[in-house]
Amino acid sequence: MSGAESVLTSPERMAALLLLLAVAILAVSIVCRRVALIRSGRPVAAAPEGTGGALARFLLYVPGQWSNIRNLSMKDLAGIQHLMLFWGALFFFVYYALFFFVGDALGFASLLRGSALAQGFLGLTELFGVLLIVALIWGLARRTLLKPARLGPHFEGGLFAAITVAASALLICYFGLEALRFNLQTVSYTGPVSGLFADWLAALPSGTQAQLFHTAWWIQTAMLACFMVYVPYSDHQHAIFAPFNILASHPQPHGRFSPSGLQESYRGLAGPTDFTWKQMLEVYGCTQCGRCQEACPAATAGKALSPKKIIQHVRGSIDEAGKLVPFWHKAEAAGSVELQHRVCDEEVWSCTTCMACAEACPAFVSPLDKIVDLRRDRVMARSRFFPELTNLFRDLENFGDVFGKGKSRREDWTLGGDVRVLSEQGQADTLFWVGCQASFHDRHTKSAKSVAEVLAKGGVDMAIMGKGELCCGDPLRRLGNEYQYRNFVRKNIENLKKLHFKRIVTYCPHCYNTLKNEYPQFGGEFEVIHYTELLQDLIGSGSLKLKKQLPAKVAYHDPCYLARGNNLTKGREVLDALPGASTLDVERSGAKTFCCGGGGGAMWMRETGGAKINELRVRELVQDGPEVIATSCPYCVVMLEDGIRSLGVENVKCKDLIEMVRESV
Amino acid sequence: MNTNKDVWVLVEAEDGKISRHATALLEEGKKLAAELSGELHALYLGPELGGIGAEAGARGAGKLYACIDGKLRQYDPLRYQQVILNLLKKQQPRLLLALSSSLGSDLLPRLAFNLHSPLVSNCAEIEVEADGELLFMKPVHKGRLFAKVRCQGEGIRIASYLPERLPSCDEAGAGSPAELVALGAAAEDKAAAIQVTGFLKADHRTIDITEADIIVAVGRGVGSKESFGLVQKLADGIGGAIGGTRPMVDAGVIPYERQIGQTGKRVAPRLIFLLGISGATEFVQGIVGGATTVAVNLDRQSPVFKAADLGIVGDLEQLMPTIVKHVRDLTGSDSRA
Repeated sequence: MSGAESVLTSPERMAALLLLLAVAILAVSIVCRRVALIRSGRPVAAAPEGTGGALARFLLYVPGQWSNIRNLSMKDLAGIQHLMLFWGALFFFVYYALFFFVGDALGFASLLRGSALAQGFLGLTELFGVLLIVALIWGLARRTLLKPARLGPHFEGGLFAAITVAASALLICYFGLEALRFNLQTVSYTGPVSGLFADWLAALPSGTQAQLFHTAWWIQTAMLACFMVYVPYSDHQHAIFAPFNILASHPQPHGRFSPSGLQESYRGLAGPTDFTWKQMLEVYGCTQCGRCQEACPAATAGKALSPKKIIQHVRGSIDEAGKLVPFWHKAEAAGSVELQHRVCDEEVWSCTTCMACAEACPAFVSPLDKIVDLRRDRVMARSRFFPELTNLFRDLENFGDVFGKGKSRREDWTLGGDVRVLSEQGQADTLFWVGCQASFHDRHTKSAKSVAEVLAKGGVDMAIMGKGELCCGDPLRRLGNEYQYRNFVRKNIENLKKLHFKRIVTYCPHCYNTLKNEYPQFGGEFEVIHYTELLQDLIGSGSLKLKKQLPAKVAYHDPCYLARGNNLTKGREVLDALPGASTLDVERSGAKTFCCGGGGGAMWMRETGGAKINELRVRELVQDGPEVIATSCPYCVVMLEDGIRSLGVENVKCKDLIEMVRESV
Repeated sequence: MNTNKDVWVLVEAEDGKISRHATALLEEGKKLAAELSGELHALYLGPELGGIGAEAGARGAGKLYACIDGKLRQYDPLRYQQVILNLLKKQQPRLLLALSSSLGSDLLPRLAFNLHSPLVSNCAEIEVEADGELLFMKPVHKGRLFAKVRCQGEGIRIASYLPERLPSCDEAGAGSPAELVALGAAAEDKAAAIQVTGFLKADHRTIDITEADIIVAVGRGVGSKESFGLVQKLADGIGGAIGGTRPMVDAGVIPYERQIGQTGKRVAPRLIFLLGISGATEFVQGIVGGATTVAVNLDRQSPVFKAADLGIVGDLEQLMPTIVKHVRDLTGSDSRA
């Protein structure tokens, strides 16, 4: 009888089989314990999605590896490495399941290896084996020599060196064994790599070759056993969980924050029992690639926060509760599963909720979602936040706006202008949602007037809500004060439903996002557009004529809550339509825009150390020497203007887009 | 049942006259007395104070119970307590109001304990309900919530009122002076458990800016460290605490504890200097309670002048030495006042 079974003795095949079965039971039990943890999570309100969409996403992002291809740049080629690893690992998974386990260990090798299909597959596997070795060495070099910041601060070089050595040993054994099978005449063909090995090994006497076969085969068995335990136990578990997370992640606009605080008993993320199953699946699907950390403005500025670290903290808490901490992480275990001890205040409050982490994640994990839930815990369950936020919360609760000015002064900006306040009996085509900033802030009331003026020129039938308008709730939700947020949203929806209008146009991107994406969570379905969308329509249809030349070089800063939160970059098109203005390219723009530093309540909190985010952004924006930095968000205007001043940049002005349009009309 | 509807206000003196918060409290007392259809009376302990009867009368007080004694220049808990307790037991007003000052915060609990009366401290608002009972509103949990308090039982209600919640009031019109009822001073008791030996004035250099009466606030326009030295001299000359804007904190000129504004602290001084501050909404929001504001800025168009009672357009580098010299001439020295 020819075949590997003629070289391998029955007892040793039996021994290997028993070993692998034992290890497989251990591995499956680890996976099952993690699955049980995930299943014990709180329920999530399911967003309706057809299976077709989920399947298409799965195919595109798992076998298609679209995240890795999409994120490729000359600066960061690691996507290619992952592509090689993914496909290589997939081929070897099939190889070991079929040809090693069923073939060698169970003894069906000659049956399996006979066909041309098998020969083709084995040949391809060898090519992927070579790619795998390249990818492994590449990966090790990144962890030990190149050390890109996003993999830091713990590069785990030692662990990856061990993995590389073990995996390379496995692959060399694999090539050797394939070669020896040919030399020992158990198969009639070699692959492209094993052919070379076969030539080298042919010089050895056949007895030595048979001995070598046994040794290599057992090394391979041992390495396989190690990997079978390592993968489900370690950070490489993402190979198991990330595909399921991708399947379960129905994409929503990044700006729509989870309403999980809605369940009556829920007061935020305090410990392992507060997670939803989706949050735990996300945490286990995290690849720790650090793209979130690279994109995060707070981490870039050197503040305490790193979104990657947040996921690690959170995962540590879940693992510790499920007694699943890998032994090489035991020393770092914090000893408490409570997140108030694991995540420090500076981390939680440095976030500007710019959504860059969620956007950058290749595995559909949102660190932001966890940060907001951590804030909910601190605000709603512990009252643990910076004292300056008390002023904001009190102003909002007592007066209904972020400046504490009160309803009675909400219409003050209209004084001397011709702006209609919509009554319950009246009707208007467009309701202008002014927002707190444009209603009260010295600088932005001018913008509110400009919006009113320009829309009037464009022939839009517009009215405002006047005293009935309250803060939209954006800072409250993003600061974790979900309870008050809900009160605001309910009151606003109630007031809006009393009025007769077709659509809402907002000045502030934050109001826009909240009204458009989050009010439907509470039954407030309205057509909501941002003023840049409306302007673009008006200009496109010819209702609004831009006449006056504005010769200036302009760098446009995309506000996060438009460009990233809602994929809205119409501001840029409006800017292009301005006669005389030339738009400069900005390093990070569109959905990849970089935060101004003012979102997520940062406007009302102290600096938490590190560099200032607005200064980083201004430096980026002034690179090509613009005369004007334009944007379309009141927070961005304040932050960038302040950055220009504190950096002492000369001859650059920060302007709201609406100011420029009004000048040109 | 206590059928008395009178409201008493304990007034405090400041700079030789009734303090401005006490005047505002008298106005509040007048409003409440009117709603209760009772009378307002004032209560004062301390050294001779010229025109106090007229001022209290002009604010609506019918009587002024006064214990004029030079020895009461400084607050002495046991002696104050003795004088007022005797009086309250006899007169049984409906409500005794005082400011949530250090005096009110110390004295009222003593009175309430001895009288077995309910005490509501740090009120933000007081209403008279339809049944004539009083409803007190007070911030709790550091102002995150407001509690409504109704007292049970009969007898005197005692309440302290948050000065920052009192509206600033105009000059009083002429009114008939309050009828003076002199109270006998309490006997000095050398063996008393508490002996007041003196008071230490808060050091304007170390006082929390939220408690400072005078603040010198600095902004980006102050520029160099040298001009900051002059700012310190000005602050020392007038006993002001130094505060400032966020950029000054970022630049390390002042510590974060001294930052005023949206991301810092909210202050309620009586007088504030805004030096080289543009007056952005984010900063101005941090000043509450209608302080007298003096602004110095280079830019005539600066929004800071909208909020200023006295605006000076000029270069701080040139102006500061003059201002400091003036202050020195006025105060006689540049020592800490």
